[in-house]
Formats: sequence, structure tokens, C-alpha cells
Amino acid sequence: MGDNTKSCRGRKIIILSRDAALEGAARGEDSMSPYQCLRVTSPYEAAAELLAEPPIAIVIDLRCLTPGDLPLIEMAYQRGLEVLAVGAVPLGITTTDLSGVRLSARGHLSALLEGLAQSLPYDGQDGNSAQALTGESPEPSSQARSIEHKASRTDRKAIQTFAPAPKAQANDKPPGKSPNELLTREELAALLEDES
Amino acid sequence: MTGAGGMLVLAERTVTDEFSDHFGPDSLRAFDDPYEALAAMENRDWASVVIAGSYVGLRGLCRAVRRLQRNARIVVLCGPAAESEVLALVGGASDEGPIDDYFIYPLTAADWRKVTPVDHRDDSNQEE
Repeated sequence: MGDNTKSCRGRKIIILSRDAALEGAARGEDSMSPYQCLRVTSPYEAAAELLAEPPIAIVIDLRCLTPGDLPLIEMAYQRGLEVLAVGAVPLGITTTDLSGVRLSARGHLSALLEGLAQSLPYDGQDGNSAQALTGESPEPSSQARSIEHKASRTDRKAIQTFAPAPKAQANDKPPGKSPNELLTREELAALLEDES
Repeated sequence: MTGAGGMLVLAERTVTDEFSDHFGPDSLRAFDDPYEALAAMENRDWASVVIAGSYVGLRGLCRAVRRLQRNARIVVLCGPAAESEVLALVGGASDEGPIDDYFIYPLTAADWRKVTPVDHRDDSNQEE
């Protein structure tokens, strides 16, 4: 830890957003944040950055996501990366599609990312390479536990995770009857907080 | 990374079949999903990348390909209606102009010669 010569490698957070303000929110006010933000405006560019140099995490402004871009999330999971999202679930995408994605309020993003960055080895690739090689989906990670710990310092409502739906139930139910079925009350609260 | 070589074609099936017929199936790898194509660029340098089709966010896609394939020759095939959009992408590997060239689809015989990757050309075709 603390080897500044390696500071660029594995200390990157990819921000997928057309909104430059989101990059500021991810950075926070601390100029000594333990990670670097790289904002891209296209999901393809996010994928390329992810492939070129594995980041700590990827933050997705859900306004940039279409159903055709869901492989980006799968790609991140295959590499054991944490996927955070801000904004409302776009049309054509279900909460099941976003299973495992952590929905965050903008105001809490920097604290969450800081906790994540501090929980990882300095070279972020170390912890991810085995998963990438085996192609296994990551277990609920120590990163996730750290995020939740960090969130508890700020506000537990700051982060919500889209839980994977039980397969049998998901198949039995007709798809999305009403908006109330798409988001939990806590997720809605996080989104409203995001808008303010 | 292996040495640069081969052609990656990102296009719908009818187009990739044409390329396969023209260059031989062993000379290229074909994809119709952009993310699968990007993944195939992770650990390999391609001599040439051909993108054809009306992909939403073409500029971002081309920039992504350039990010992973700094030295590849990236060409886009487009219809006449999309020419002005694609022309703006030609810049010889800069971020704002990530592609090297474009061709109007369907290709003419002359276009087929120009779109040929460097390692497939004979001496008479090596104009660059």
C-alpha cells in the first residue's frame, strides 16, 4: 500500500455519464481521494477502458444505458468489479437486469468509492485476476462489505442493491405490471435524494 | 498480446459473410455484437478492424475500438445517407477522429482492394 509509482494502475474509477457533474460528485471534495475518475460518455468506451486497464469500480449513470448495453455490466461482473449506478432505471431495462448493481445517491457516491478504494489492495488487479481467469461470477465480496461499512458511516439509505430475483418467481410473474413493482420504497427514496 | 495480424469484422451476418467469401473464413473473425468484438480486442492486436452497420453511438464505438487497437487500421462501411456522420470520424487515430478511412457500402471492386488489411495485400496494393 502507498506505492505512488503504481498510483495509476488499478486506482481508476470509470464514470459512464454525459453529465460532468457526476464526475465531481464521484470525486468529492477531498483532493487526496485514493482513486482517479475517468469519465466516458459511451458505454462502448466504458467497456474499452474496463478491458484496457481494470478499474476499481464502474459508476453508471443509468440514463446512458440501453438494453443493448447490458453486456457492459456482465463484463464488469466477470472481472469481479463493483458496479454502482445513479439515476432511474431506464425504459426497457428491468431491476432483474441490474441484479447486483448498487444504486447510490449522488451525494454519497464519493464516500462509497473512497471506502471501496481503501478496501482493495493497491494494485486493484490482484484481487480480481483469479475471478477473471475462471470466469466465475464474484461472490458477495469484501468490497461490498466495505461499501456497506462505509455507507453505515454516512447513511445506510445511500445505497441499495438490486437483488437477484428468484428464478421460479421471476418466470411465474407477468413482466412489470406497475411502477411500484420496479423499485422498492428505499430505492425510490434514494432516487429522489439523487434528484435534489 | 500476439503480433498484429488478421481482420476483425463487426457487422451483421450478411456483411461478414461477404467478407468471409472474399478473404476466406480463416482470414478474419466476425462479430455482430459490439461488446463481444471489444472483448476479442482485449488480448490481441488486429491489423485491421472493419465496422459496418448502423450501430447506435457509432462515434463512441469507434473511439472504444481505437482505445484497444492503437495501431490497427480501422475502417467503417456505411450507406450514403450516413456518409457525413462517418466522414467526421476520419482522423487517423486521434480521439475525435478515431477511424482511418470509410467506404460506402456495398463495396466496389476497387474498394475491396483498399479495404484489404495490410498483411493480405500484394505489393501493387500497398499504397500507404
